[in-house]
Formats: sequence, structure tokens, C-alpha cells
Amino acid sequence: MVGALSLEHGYAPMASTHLRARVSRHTSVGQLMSRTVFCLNVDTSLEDATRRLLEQGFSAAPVLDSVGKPIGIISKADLLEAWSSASEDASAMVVGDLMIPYLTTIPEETPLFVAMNLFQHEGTHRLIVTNAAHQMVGIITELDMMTWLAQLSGFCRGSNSEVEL
Amino acid sequence: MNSWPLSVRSLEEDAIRLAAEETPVRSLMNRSVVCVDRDTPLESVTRLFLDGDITGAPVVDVDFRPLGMLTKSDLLHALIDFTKPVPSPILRSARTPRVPRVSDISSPFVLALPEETPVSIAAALMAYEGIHRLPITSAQGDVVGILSTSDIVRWMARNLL
Repeated sequence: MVGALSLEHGYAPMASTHLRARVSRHTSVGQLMSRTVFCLNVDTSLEDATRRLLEQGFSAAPVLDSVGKPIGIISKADLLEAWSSASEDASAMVVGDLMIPYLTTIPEETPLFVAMNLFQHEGTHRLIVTNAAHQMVGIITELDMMTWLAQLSGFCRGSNSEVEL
Repeated sequence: MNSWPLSVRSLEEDAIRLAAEETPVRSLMNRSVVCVDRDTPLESVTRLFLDGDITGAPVVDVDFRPLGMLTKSDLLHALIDFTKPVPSPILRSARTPRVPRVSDISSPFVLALPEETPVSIAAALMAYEGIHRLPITSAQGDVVGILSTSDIVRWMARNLL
């Protein structure tokens, strides 16, 4: 999944390089994130969850509770562990049994370089992006960082950051 | 807006872009790369992936030339299909005459890059293909490393600060 890299807010052209540098240092997570987040419900069966995750081609998905609040995350690694384990009966389990019950979140106005450091130090590959009311508004992954880097070198065209080689 | 406006490209971004265009993937890649053989049983590979915290491994021939890629998704696909309930023990033995091996499920092609490729090209390929890792090959065509999105993010974080 490649995130939308659209400059919705736009920037006023800056006169001095010094100012430009400061503005860009605050290129925010919100500008690079994907706004559509593929989620799974806490009571979905593991089999259903695995199939849907594979179909969508995502490596993990936030887990929503019955009122649609994100309460955890489930990854392909967790699913692989469960399906290959002989002691657990994965077909009788639901997402809630296996998910990691916390989320690594980041506010949408956070500068991109902070997110990069989080990726590096937390050893995670995705961060849930939240607004001021702590609601999930998007997701940012390491792959979005690849899009950003590719775009810097002029590889990207199009509004939804389709990369053209 | 269609493209990144020139006016917001900062000194940092220019520095990152230049570095990405000049740095070969060789200097970022992980040299200790776990490769798998086509004939390895899936069960052992699954163990290897889980125990070694590996998310994907190149499938190689005897000369370590890349033949394909094996990822956690491939293993999950296989596990889900192989664990489907089978009606009777007789049918089960008839249906699974041999243990499933890497060659049954690995992708039949591989996107590998030579070690002198610039980081910017590797990032663009990953973004375009939506993949998280690329095997890196020497001039002779054998796998000498693996580059993941995490390696590039770590490298960028170091360059930015």
C-alpha cells in the first residue's frame, strides 16, 4: 500500500533557504500517511482475518472493538505463529485472542524525522496516526517513507503518489 | 497538487536526496542474509522464520543465485490451505503424498538489485512494488545481502539528524 502524498494544505513559497529548511523540517506525518486504514474487528475469526489480510496484502491491521475504537494490532507474524503452532487451535480463535493489546500512535502534526526515529527505535513498521482528540485518522508505514524518498528523487507522479520508474 | 513543489524542498531533503542518489545499496544492506533452498520443507522454513524473526528470504540455487522470494505471506497462504479439514484419513494421505516444500509456494521470479544500485532506485522499486525487502546481488549475480525498508528508514534517520 502506498500512502497518499498530497500537499493539501500547500505551502507559501519561502524567500530564504533558512526558512525553507525550517518549514520542511516540519513536513508532517499527516501529509504522508494513508487516510484509509484497513482494520479488523476484535471478534473476527482468525481464519477470516488471515484471509482478508492476505487478500488486501497488508502485513498488519489495527483491531477495532465493538464501538469502532482501535484497541490493538494484529500482524502476519502473529498469525503465522498461531497457525503453525501445534498446541493452539487457531481455527477456534478470534482476533482478540491473538492481537497485541496496545498501539504505537503518533500525532498527525509530528515531523517526519521523528516518525523515522520511532520506526528505528521501536522496531515497528507502522504507526497509527491520531488527531488532537486522540482518534485514529490514518496510518503511516515504512513503505510510505520509501515513497517519500522516491518522490524526492523525482520518481513519483500523480496525486496518490503512484511511483513511476 | 501533483508533484512536490520545489519551494518546500529543504536543505535536509536535498541532502537526503543527494545521499540517496549517491549511496550504493551495498553500504546499507544486511550482509548476513538467510537464504533458503527450493527443496526445504515448509515446516522447517516456518520454524526458521519464527525463531529467527525473519519476514522474507531469497530462494537461491547452489551458486546463491536468486530464484525467487519466500515471505511470511506465502507461508500463511500455504498454512491456511494445508490446514483445511480433509474428510477422511485415506483421502488425506492421497491428497498430501509428500511434504510441501519451498518450491511449491515461492514466487517464481525475483526482484533483485546489483549492489552498486543507488538507494533512491531501491526505495522507488520498493514503493512501486509494495515490497519490504530486496535481495542484493554481486556482479557475478549471487546474493550478497538483503535490503529492507527498515534499513533505509534507519539510514534516513541517521542522515536527518
